[in-house]
Amino acid sequence: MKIKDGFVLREVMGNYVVVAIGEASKSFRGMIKLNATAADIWSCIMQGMDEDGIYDALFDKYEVDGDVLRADIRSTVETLRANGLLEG
Amino acid sequence: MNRRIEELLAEDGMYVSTTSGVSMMPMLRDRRDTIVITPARERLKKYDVALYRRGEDYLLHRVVKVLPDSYIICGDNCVTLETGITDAQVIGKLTEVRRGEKKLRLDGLGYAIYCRYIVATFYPRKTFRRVKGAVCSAAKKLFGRKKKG
Repeated sequence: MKIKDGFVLREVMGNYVVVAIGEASKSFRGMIKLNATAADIWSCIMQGMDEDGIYDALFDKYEVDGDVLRADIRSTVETLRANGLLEG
Repeated sequence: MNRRIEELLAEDGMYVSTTSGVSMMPMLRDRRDTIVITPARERLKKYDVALYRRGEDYLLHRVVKVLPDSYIICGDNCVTLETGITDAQVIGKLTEVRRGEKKLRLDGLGYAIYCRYIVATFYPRKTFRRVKGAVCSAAKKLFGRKKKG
């Protein structure tokens, strides 16, 4: 699982936003807002982690129930995949 | 995901994207720099960069003159003035530019000098392009055609 080339995360006015640059911007002309957790998940994917790796990396940071965190990770990954931002 | 920019601005209060085209070079590079647009809640000022509609197209160009009922607008890399742009056509204004991870300051002295330089050199740039075009055209006529055999 990796982020497709041409998509970058930017922090703008206190918001995390994914935008397309270069060739990717020809087919993707919008923006996707992420919350802080989703932005962390994005960063983990950028580092090459799978869902288990992301869980391990974020479990200590977020004091939430493990099942809730897993559900958040799954939901975020599905959202990114549904919007065509992930490959593999 | 390709929702109208007006919708995104109304819902999120900002629109983040990249630009396409070279009309705002050298400030904005084609599909490389990230721009942040916010709604234009009041009249634009000279040197503001306006996002406006012309038909179905969205354009991001600089205000070079503010008139009572409209604006005269021009891209930094353009030599044609667009007149009669009204507030009704203006959707937002450029408030932030990111070049990679670096944020360009739009409130600094360097940017203020850049804006004034671009606007002040409009006519010299236009003249230069005309002369250059004429020279290239003449050169093509003189040297461009080669006879075979």
